[in-house]
Amino acid sequence: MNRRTAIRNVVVISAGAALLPSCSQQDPAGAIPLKNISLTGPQENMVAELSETIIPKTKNFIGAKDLKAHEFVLTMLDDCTSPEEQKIFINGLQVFEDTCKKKFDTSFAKCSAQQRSELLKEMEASKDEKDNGVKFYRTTKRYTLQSFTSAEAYMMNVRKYKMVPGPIYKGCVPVS
Amino acid sequence: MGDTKNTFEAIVIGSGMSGGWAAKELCQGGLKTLVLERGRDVKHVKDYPTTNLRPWEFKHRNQIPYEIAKDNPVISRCYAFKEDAMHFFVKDTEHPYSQEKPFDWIRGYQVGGKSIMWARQTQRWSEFDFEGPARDGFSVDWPIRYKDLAPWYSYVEKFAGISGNKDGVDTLPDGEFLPAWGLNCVEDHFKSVVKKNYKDRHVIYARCAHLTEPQPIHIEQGRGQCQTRNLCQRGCPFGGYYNSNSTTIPWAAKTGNLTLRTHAVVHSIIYDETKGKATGVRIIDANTKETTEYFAPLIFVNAGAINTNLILLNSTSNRFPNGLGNDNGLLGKYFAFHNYRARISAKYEGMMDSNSEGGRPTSAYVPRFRNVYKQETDFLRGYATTFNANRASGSRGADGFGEELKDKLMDTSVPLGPWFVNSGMMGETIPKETNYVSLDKNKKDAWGIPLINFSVEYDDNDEKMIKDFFEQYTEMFTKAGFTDIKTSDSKQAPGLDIHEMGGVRMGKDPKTSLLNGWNQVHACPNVFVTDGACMTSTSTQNPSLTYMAITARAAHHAIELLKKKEL
Repeated sequence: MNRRTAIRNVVVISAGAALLPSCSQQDPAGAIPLKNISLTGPQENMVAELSETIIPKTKNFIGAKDLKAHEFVLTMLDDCTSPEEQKIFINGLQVFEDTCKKKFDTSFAKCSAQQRSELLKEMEASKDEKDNGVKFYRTTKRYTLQSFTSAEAYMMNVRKYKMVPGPIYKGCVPVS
Repeated sequence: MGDTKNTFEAIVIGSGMSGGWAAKELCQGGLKTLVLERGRDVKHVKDYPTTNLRPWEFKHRNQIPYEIAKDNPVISRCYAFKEDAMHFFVKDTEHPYSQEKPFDWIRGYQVGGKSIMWARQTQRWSEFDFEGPARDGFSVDWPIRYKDLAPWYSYVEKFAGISGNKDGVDTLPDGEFLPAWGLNCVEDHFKSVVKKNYKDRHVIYARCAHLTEPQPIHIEQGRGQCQTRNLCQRGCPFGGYYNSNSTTIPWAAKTGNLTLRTHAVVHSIIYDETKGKATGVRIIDANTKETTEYFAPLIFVNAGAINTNLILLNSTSNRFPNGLGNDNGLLGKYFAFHNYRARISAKYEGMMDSNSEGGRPTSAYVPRFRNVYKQETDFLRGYATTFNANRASGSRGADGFGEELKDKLMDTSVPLGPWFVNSGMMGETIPKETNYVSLDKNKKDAWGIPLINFSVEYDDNDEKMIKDFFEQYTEMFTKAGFTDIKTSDSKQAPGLDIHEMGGVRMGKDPKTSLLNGWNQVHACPNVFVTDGACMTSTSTQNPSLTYMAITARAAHHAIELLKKKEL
C-alpha cells in the first residue's frame, strides 16, 4: 500500500466510525435475525450485492443471491466469530462502502458492473493486513464461497455428493 | 435390604463401551440386571437426530458456534465435537471438574456413553503388552496374560463385528475378522518399503468395529453392512459399526432381564459392615435430585475410567474410610493414558497415475516395534502409529471473483494434487503413583458429590519417545521417497487421547493393587471393575476392545461364582 492509500484509509476509518450511528438511525433495520451484530437494510443489501458479485448467477448455474448467501455470511459472522471479528466486519463494511463512494461517488449497490469489478480487483490485490475494508471483503468472500460450495445444488450437481457411498472401496485404481 | 422393587440380582453402573457388555452377559446369564445410566436414553437410530442430515442442512456447516467454543474450551479441543455430534458430548460448563494439572476430560453422558462417538479402532493386545510391566519393572505384574483373554477377544469380536486381515504379526494377534477394506496404493507402497528395510516393522490395515460382511448374529441384532458414510459419530442408521445402543443394550433388553434406569447419578456403592459385602448402589436422580438405593448381590462398575475412580473414592464406610477397597491407599493412583501429541506428515509425488475410490472407516496401522523383544532405547516401551495417505483433490484455487472464480469452482476436470501422508503416534505411558485422580476436598457438583481432581502429566519417558518417533518416522518416510517431511508436537494435555486408564488397577497382590485377576475388588469381591479404570498398564493399542473382552470374561466368572454361591 502506498502512502496516499494509507492516509486515505485512516480518514475513511474515522469517517466510517462517525457515520455509523446516523446511518442506523435513518435506515430501516435489516431483516435477518441476528443476535450479536446489527445491520441496516441497506447494509444487508450491500452484503448481498457483494456476495453476488463474488459468485454471480450465470447462464447455467445459480449464484450467491439464489442461495441467499449473504444470510449465511451474516449468520456465520454472528454465531461463529468473536466480538472482535464482528466489530472489524461491521467497521470494515463501512470502510468498504466509503472507499466505494470516494472512488465512484455512489454506493456499492448502485455501482455498475465495471465499477464493482474495479473495486474488487483492488481488494483482491491488497496486501494491507490492517485495512478493515479488505478484511470485510475477505470475510464476505470466505463465507460466500462456503455457502456456495456446500450448497445442495453445487454438491449434488457439480461434486456428485453421495451421502451413502456404499460398501465399495478400491484401494488402487488408475486415475481416469 | 430395601423393598423388592429396588432389588435386583446384579447392578451395572454405566451403559457405555464396557457397561453394555456387562449388561448383555449378566442378562444372558439369567440375572435380573439393573443398568444405571447418569444421562438420557439414546435409542438406536431413533435418537440419532443428525444422522441423515446432509452438509448444507447444518446451520453452521458443522462448525461449533463461537460462544459454545469459548465457554467450553476442553470439549472444543476434541476432534469429534462438531455441530453434527455435539449433543453426545458433555460440555465443560455442564459438569465442571478440578485440574491440579491440565487434563482434557472428554465425556459422553447418555445410554451408550462414548461408544456412540468412538473411533472404532480395535487392535488386540499381545503377550508383549501383558508381560510388559513385569519385564520392564514398572507398575505391577498383570494378573492375566494374553492366553487368558484370547478366547474373550474372539467372543466379543464375533458379536461386535470386527473387520481386518489376518496379518500373522506377533505384536498384534489376529482375531475373528470380517473382510477388510484394505490399503491404498501409497499405503501399500509404504508397507513394502518398511518390510524391505526393517525386519520387525509391519504396516497393516487397522482392524475396526465395522460390519463389512454382516454375519447371522449381526442380522439378528438388526444391524447391516457398513456403507462407508464416515459419519459414525452421529450414530449409524445402518448399525454399520459397533456401539452399545445398537448391539449390547438391545440384546440385554431382549432377555427380559434388563431394567434400564436413566438420569441416575451414582453417589456411592453401599457397603454392609456386618455382611462384609457391598449390598447396593445409592443414586441421585439427575433431575429431581432425589436419592434412591438399589440393591443387588453383584455390582459391576463401568462408569468410565475416571467416574469409576470417583464412585469408589466416594464410597466410604467405617470399613473403607478412604474409598471402597482402598486398603492400600492406591485407589486413583497409577493413572495413565496414551501419548497422542506427536504427528508427522509429508508429501509424495510418486504414483500420480493412481488413486483410491470410495471410502473406508480406518487406514493403515504400524504396531509397536520399539523395545519389543528386548530393551533397546533410553526410554521404556514404545508406540504404535497410524498411517494414511490421501491424494489432494484438484483445485484451481479461489483467487479472484465473478465468473472467473465461479468457473474455477465449477471445474471438475482439474487433475488431482500429490499424495499427502501422515502418521500419528500412540505412545504407551508409564503408570506412576504421582499421576493420580482424587476427590476435590472443597468443591462439589450439583448433586453434592465431590468433583474429581486431576494430577496427571507427561514425563521424561514420553518426551524421549516423541523424539524417537520423529527420528524413526523421518527415516522411514525418507526411505519411502516422501518429501517435505514435517513433524509436529501438539503439546496437548493428557486426556485428549480419550484413552484414560488405571487408578483401580488389577494385580496379584492386594497390597499393591485394587482388583484381582477376575476384576473383583480384592477387599470386596462382589464388586467388579471392568472399564478403563482396571488397567494395570496402557499398552499402545486403542483400549476399548480389551475392555469389552475383560468385561465379558469377568461377567462370566461372576455368574459362575453366583451359581456356586461363592459371592
